[in-house]
Amino acid sequence: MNDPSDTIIQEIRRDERWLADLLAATPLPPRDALARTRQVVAIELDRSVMERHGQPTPDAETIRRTKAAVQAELRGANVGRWSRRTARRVGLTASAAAIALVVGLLRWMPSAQTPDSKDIETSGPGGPSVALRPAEPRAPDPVAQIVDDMTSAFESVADRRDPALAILADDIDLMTTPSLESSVEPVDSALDEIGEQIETLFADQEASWET
Amino acid sequence: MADVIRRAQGRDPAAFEALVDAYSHRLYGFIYRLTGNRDDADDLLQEVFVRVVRMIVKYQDDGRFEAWLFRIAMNLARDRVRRIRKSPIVSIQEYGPPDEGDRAPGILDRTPGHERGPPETLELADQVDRLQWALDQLGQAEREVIMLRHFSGLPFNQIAELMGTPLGTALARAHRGLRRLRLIMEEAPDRRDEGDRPQ
Repeated sequence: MNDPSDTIIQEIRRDERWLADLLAATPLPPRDALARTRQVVAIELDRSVMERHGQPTPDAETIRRTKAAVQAELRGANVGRWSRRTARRVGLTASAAAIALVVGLLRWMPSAQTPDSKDIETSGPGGPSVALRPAEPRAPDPVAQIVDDMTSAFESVADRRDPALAILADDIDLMTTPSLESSVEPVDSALDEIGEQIETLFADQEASWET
Repeated sequence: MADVIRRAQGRDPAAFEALVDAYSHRLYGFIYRLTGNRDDADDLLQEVFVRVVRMIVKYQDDGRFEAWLFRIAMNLARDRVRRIRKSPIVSIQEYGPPDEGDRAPGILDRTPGHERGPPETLELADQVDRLQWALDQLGQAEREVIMLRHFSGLPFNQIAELMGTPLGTALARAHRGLRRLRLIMEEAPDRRDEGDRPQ
């Protein structure tokens, strides 16, 4: 006894042969229909190519190169940030050393440096008289010299920050580490604070000279 | 064919020409037998290849390109038949036989009363028309599986996969559809002799 599925398949094949004779009369596509189909395919092909060119997308190699360039830029930004920090610290250290020196000198310097020295007593035919000591040309003031040096030190710190480079560096820092800007501020504010202390210190000294 | 497909995926125009040459006859016949109309077959043949251009990049060559291609054609033909059946102007049952020659019939060609070609072509036209009429009596799934089998030449397991049915279902539909078709063709009266169609 035959397997039912075999019987079914045999019947299908027999009927398919019968149908194939009838389907042989199926019309073929007209030549103009084929021509239109080729034309439509060509148009669609052009359109798809134009679309691809109109909306270019980067390939994998382009993306890889871009990532590498960004990484390199970030590394460069880190180096630049380190050098700026070093320069600021050097400048700050120099300023602090100069301030300490100034304070030390002010405490050490004798009072002769102040304008309240005794006048010279002279004696003559009319008896002793007091004459004012003629004003001597003031020797180069070491305090002024120190102040000049300190100003130079501050200026050198400022000179290390080229404005254009500083803006660029700050932009990069903002893009990479948003907290970096806040790390710059304390340095600047510390410099300002030191500057104010120096101004107060010398304002006191100048007041004492005027008396 | 794998090389042609690969070149087509690279947008090589010559590869698409080769695909049109290789498949247009079978696709046209398949679509014509599903829709029963040459206008629709003309339109949908173009549409199939437009879809191929758009979608071939996504096709992953697993040696079943024909199944992929005929599924596109089947889906388009289904949509068209569905639309025709909803149309109040003419239904698929009212289609006349295809005209001879290259001229595709217009909407008037589908309606009764249309003049046909010379008498010597009537025999072939009548046979084609009767077959088409008989095919229209089948259910859509039976007609699709029989036409896929004939025009695509795919094995039943691929046809079952293409249609999303088990193999047994595809075989049963083919078996039942072919038997019904044979009965319809053998028992149906000659519509021409009955004056079913105008001369």
